[in-house]
Amino acid sequence: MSNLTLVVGDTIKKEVRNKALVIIFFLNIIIFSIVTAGVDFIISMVGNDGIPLDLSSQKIHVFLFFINKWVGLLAILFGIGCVKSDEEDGILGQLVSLPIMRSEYLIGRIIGASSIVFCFYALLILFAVIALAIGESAIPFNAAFLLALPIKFFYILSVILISVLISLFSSKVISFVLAMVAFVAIDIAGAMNGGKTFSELFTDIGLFKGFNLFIYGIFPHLSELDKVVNDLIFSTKDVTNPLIELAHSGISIIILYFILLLIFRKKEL
Amino acid sequence: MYAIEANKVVKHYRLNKALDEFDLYVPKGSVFALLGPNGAGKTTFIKCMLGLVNYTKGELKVEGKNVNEVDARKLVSYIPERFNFYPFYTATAVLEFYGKAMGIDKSILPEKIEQAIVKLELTEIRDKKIGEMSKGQRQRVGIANLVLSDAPILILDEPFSGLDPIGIKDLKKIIKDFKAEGKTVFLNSHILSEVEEICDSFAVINKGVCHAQGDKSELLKDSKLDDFFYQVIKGEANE
Repeated sequence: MSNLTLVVGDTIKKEVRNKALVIIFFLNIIIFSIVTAGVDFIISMVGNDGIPLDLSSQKIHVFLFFINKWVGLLAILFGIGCVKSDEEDGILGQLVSLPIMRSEYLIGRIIGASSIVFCFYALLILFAVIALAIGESAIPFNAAFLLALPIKFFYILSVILISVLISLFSSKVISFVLAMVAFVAIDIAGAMNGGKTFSELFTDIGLFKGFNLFIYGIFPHLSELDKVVNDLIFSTKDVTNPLIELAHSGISIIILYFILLLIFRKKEL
Repeated sequence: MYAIEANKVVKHYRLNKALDEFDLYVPKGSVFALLGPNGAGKTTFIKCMLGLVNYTKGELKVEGKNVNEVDARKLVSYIPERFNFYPFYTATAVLEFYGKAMGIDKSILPEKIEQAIVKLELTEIRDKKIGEMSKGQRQRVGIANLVLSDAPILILDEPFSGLDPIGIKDLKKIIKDFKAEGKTVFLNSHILSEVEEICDSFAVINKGVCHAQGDKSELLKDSKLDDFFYQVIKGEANE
C-alpha cells in the first residue's frame, strides 16, 4: 500500500508539470472568451426575444462540450505518456527493479494520472461557472453535480487505462493515432448500439455490426457515461438505465485492467 | 548457499540465444565481476536477476529465493549503467523516493539519506535537479541509492563508465566498504583494470555461455586479468 501511495504521489508530481495542462487551459480560456463574446454580441444585436431559444443559457452547454473534449484529449495524452515516457527515459526498469510490484506501479500511474486530469476537469468547470457568473447567465448546476463527479473520474480513468494499454505496443505518436482510432470506434459502437434492447442488438448481425457489437461489449460505454454526467448536471434523462451502463463499464474496466496487467507483467524491459 | 545461483539459465530473444545454459555461483560477501565483450549476455543476466526479463529455462536464485518471487526484489539493489530519474527531482528527493520504495523506516530515513549524501560527496548538489546534473553527478546519485539500501546484494551495471578518475577511485573505496559490511557486490564491467583491483572472484561470459569462473587468485595465478580474458575469449573463438 505504501508503495502504491508513493507511485501515485510521484505520478502527480510528474504529470502536474505536463505542458499540455497549461496549453489546454489557455486554449480553453480563448474558446470560452470567444463563445461568451459571440453569444453576447448576437444577443445585443437581435435581443433574446428575437431568438427561439434562450441563447445565454446555452453557453454552459457549449462550455461543457469543450471541457469534455479537452478532458478526453488530455486523458488520452496522459494515458499514453504515463508509462511510455518512463520506458523511453529508462526509468521504468529502475522503478520495477525496486520492491515495487508491477501491479502497484501500474495502478499508481493510472490513478495518479487520472487524479490530475480530474482536478483539471474540476478547474475548468469552476472556471466555466465563474465565466457564467460574471456574465450573469443562469448556472444550471444542482446538488446532483456532486454525484456526477465520481462518474467523470471513472470516465477519465477508463480513457487513461485504455490509452496505457495501447501505449504498451508502440511509440508515443503511433499510440496516439491508435488511441484516437480506438476511441472513435468506441464512440461509433456506442452511437449504433446505445439504448437498444437486447433483441434489437442481436438481429441481422453482419461483419460490421458484429465488430461493432464486440467493441460495444468489451469496452466501457464512454459516450453513455458522459451522457449520465450531463443528465445529472442538467436534470435530464438521456440515458435510460444509468446503473446498467455504470455496471457494464465497471466490469469492462476490471477485465481490461487484468488484460493490461497480464501484458505488462510479461513485458521485458 | 550462494548469494546468486544460476543453474542452466536459458534466455532466447526470438532466434538469438542471449544466455545458453548459463551457470553462475556468486559467493556471499564477495565482490564478484561478470566480464565479457559487448553483447556477451552480461546485461541480460542482470535483467533476469531483477525480473526485468523472463528467462526461458533454468533456475535463478538470489539468497536462496527464486528471482520471480516478490520478496526476492528486496534482497537486491541495482544501479544501471546510466542512472536516470525525473529531471525535476533533486538528489535528496531521489534518495527519499528510493528509501521509501525500499521500505526503509521513516524514522531513520533522513539520517540514512544524510549519510549517503556525505559518503558520495553530494552535499553541494543535494538540491540540484537531476535534469541539471552532469552524467557523473547523476551516477553518483544512483550509487548513493545503493548506500541507502539494506539489500544484501548490490548489482552495479558498468559502474565505472561515465565517472572521472576521482569518481572511479571513490567508487572503488565504496565497493570495498560494501564488502566490509558483508554485502555481496556484483559488478558487470569491461573495464578490466579497475575490476581486477577490487574483485575477489569473477566469471567470463561470451555468447551467453560461461567460460570460466572462480576465485581471482586461482584463475589468474600469475597472469593479468586482461591477458586471461583475451585468452579465454580468443581461445573460444579459435575452437
